[in-house]
This record gives sequence, C-alpha cells and structure tokens, in this order.
Amino acid sequence: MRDFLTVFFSLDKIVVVSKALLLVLAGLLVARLLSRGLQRLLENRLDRQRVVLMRRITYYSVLSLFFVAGLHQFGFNLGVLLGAAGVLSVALGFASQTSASNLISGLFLIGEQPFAIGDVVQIGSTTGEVLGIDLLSVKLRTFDNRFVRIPNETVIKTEVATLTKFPIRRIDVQIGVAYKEDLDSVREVLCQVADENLMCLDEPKPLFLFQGFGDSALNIQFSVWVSRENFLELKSAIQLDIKRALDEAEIEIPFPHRTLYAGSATRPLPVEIVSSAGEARVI
Amino acid sequence: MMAGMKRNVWWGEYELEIGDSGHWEIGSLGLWMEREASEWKMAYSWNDDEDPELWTYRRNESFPDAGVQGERFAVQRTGGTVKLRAVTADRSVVARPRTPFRVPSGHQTRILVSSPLWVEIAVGPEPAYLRELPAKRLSETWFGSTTRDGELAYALKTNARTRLEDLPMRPYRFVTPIVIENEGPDTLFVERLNLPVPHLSIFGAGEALWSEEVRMLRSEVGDVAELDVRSGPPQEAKKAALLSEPRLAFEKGHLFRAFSSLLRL
Repeated sequence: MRDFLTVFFSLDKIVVVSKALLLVLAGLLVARLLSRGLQRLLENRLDRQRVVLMRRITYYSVLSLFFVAGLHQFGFNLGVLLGAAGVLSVALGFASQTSASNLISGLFLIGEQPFAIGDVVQIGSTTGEVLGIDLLSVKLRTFDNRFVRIPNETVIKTEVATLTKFPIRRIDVQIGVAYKEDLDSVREVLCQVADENLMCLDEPKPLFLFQGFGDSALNIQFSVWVSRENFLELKSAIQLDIKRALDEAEIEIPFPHRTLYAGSATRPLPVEIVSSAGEARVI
Repeated sequence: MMAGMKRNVWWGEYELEIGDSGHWEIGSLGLWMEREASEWKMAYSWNDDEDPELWTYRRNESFPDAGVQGERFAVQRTGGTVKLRAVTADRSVVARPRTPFRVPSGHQTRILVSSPLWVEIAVGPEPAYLRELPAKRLSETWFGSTTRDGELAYALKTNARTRLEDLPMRPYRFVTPIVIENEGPDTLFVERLNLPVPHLSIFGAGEALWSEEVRMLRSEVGDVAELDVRSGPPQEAKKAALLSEPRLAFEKGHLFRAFSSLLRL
C-alpha cells in the first residue's frame, strides 16, 4: 500500500497532473477573455445573434485546445483519441440524426437570418417574441407568456412570418352591408372613419375593395395602414369605430337571412299572435 | 381670461402656489397642472375639431375628473414654477399642399409652411422635465416609395402660401420658409413635401413663431434633394429670439427624400 502511494504520489506524477490542471485552468481563463474581447469587438458590427454565436464558438474552441493539451500531458496519444473520436462520431451520427439535422438547420437559419432576437414571429400556429436562436432550436415567448422551444428543423420546414420586419402593417377589415345600401355612401363613411382615427396612416391610403355578392350581404374589404407599434390597438379600435359609424349612418350590417317558401302546394304556416296580457291566438 | 396675466405669449414661466392649479388651452390641447407640497398633478386632453386663433390661461379652474389623461409626478418638495417651451414635433412632417404645384426646371420658389408645435412642460426652480405634448395632434403617415423603404412622419395639409400676408398666424404653429430649387432636367411636381422639423429650431418674434429657412436643392430626376438649414431666424423675423434648439443635429448637404414619391403597394 505504501509502495502504491509512493508511486502514485511520486513527484513526476504530481508535476504532470499539476501541469494538466494548470493548462485547463489557463484554458478557461484565456477562453473567457478571448470570447469577451471578441464580443466587445463585434458588438457594433454584427447583430446580437451572430455575436453570441461567435462568442460561444471561440469559447469552446479555445477551451477544447487547452483540454486536449492537458490530456497530452497525461500521456494520451491524440492520434488514437482522434481515431476513436472518428468511430464514435459515426456511431453518434446514426444515433443523433435529429440533432444533426437541427444543427445544420440552425446554421442555415443563422446564415439566412429571416428574423433576429426581439422580432415577433409566427411559426406554424405559434406567435411570439424571439428570445434566442441557438444551434438546435429557436426559443419564443408567446404573448400569454409561455416559453416555447421550436426545433430548427421545424422552423426550416414551416412557413415563418416575421411580423416586425417592416415598420408599417395593413389591417384588413371584412364588412358586409345590406343589399339595399348605397356603396358610395358606405365608402364615404368608412373613409371618414379612417380619416378621423389618428393612428390610421394618411399614406398609404385606405383601401376599399368590393369583394362580391354574398348570401346575405354585399361583401367589402376595408384596409387601413398603421405603424407596427399601434397595430393591435388599431385592429380593435377601427372595428369599433366602423360599427359606430355605420350605426350612425343607419347602414345595415345584415346577419344571414333565410326565406321560408311554403309554396302553393303546401299549407300556410300557422302564426301565433301573443297579446300583452299573454293570451295566445292562433290564426 | 384671454392671453391672461398680462402675457402676450404662452411660453415661459408661470408661478403656482401650493394648492393652486393652472389651465392652458393651446391649439387643440387642454393642459391642467396642479401643485401640491410634494407632487405635481397633470391632466391633458385634445379637442381635435377646434382650430382656435387664441390661447388661454386660467388659474384655479377645477381639475377635470374624467375625459382626460392624468399623471402624477412625485418630488421631495415642489417649487412654484411651471415652465412651458415651444419645441418641434419629434418626427418629420409631410406637408401636402391643398393645391399641388409645379416648379419648372431651372427655377426656384419660396413657400411658407406652418406646422403645429409641441409643448414641453417642465417645473422648477431647478428645471425638471415632465413631458411634452403636441399642441395639435396630427395623423401619422408613411413617406417612402415602397411600404418597406421610407419613414414614419406626421401628415399635414398646407396651403403652401408664398406671401406672409396670406398666412394666418396661430399661437400653436411655427412658420418655416422653404426654398425649393429645381436644377433637375425635368419639371418638379410638388404634391407632398417632407419637412424634417426635428432638425429645426424655434424662434419667437412677438406672438409669432418661426424656424430657420430650409433650402431644398433638387439636382437630378427623382424625389431626392440636398437639404440645407440656414442658421438663425428667417428674414421675416430677423430679431426673433431662440426658444428651443433642434432635436437632432443637422449635417450640411444631407441628401434626403424630400418630395412626393409614387407609393408602390
């Protein structure tokens, strides 16, 4: 036992272990300093997402180099290690196809940049603010405050809408008015509503689009433009304003009508008249 | 009390005792300020239908309970001064002449455009900025050739007068003389004009408010012009005093989209 301890704690071994530990510690320090320095250097030149990615790549590359140097101190043969890593990577590749696919999709996403951190996006049926774009997934905060992780492979395959890409957006309001109404008057009322609402942009001009003859109504699309900050507020406000204005102008917004035709071959429909006293009389 | 308290102009300092309140009507803005021992109460609203020629100030008018937006500013101990300052809007103003006009190639014109200003509210004696409010709210608009490329601005309808006598002066508006020089090869059709008011100062000459003269030099086909802001008050108000500095620094010879452009949807 004593011999074993003597061999184990021989001066040479202690020196080797200390060197390896020192290398790893130095690696941690250098990796941190280098990645932070790089972050400061790139902060004003690249977007946040790319800066974060560059920082991580630098940190882990430098750390890996020092770690490998540390292993070398222990007497590990790096050639054998790399060979084993090659075999292992093939095995891992088969086992982690999904992760690899996400990783490659992530690289495409970062290169293509359809959105950035802070943007509001709609991916499939999920809408939210982008918190992070990592190598494996995109992290979103939905507006009901849920944290949603979407794999990069899904993002690449799905239709993605970036809602905050451009400074202005259009709100389309679908309206139906009764067949008896004069469409010129309707257009005038709607344009007046847009004119009076200060959030509606003066240019591009509101769009009045006759969509066709519906079952119960003349279908119209009225579109107004708004700055993206006011989008949600105006989306609700403009519809309330339109309802109020159409009511004031006595323009009817019809609900679906059904006409029952009894025909000459059928018997007349029975009608019940109820008096205020509650007495019913069937005609 | 019209333009009360022996004042001709609405900007400047007002004294309020603890428990007192002041009510201003400047343009379509109604502003109430009430001083308490350790807080200022503020309320404001706009009557967008009105375009009054005069401004008013009343002391100790009842503070509105409803129909206004209200705010409180807490401090250790309130001083007795309310300071109002005339400042420009925080975005460019897109002026649309009621009757568009043309400037033939090789000619220049000088028009007068009057734009609403904003009221900056501060309290003293050590000046503490509270907020700023538009004296008349303007609709937002987009100025650009496409819905992707352009800038958000305020929309303003103007008569683009060429003679000062034809221009109705309002206490909540400032006048900017604009010289448009068309050195381009074709006639310039001025349907909309982008006036970068955040680059302008406000000068007071009696009851009238002015900004520097702006020169827009168009030397090529298109909507782009070289902008030049002539420092100091314009020739119509040479002795005017500076009331507020520009919000944004101005770079001489700055090229910007100045004139109406075809919007592609």
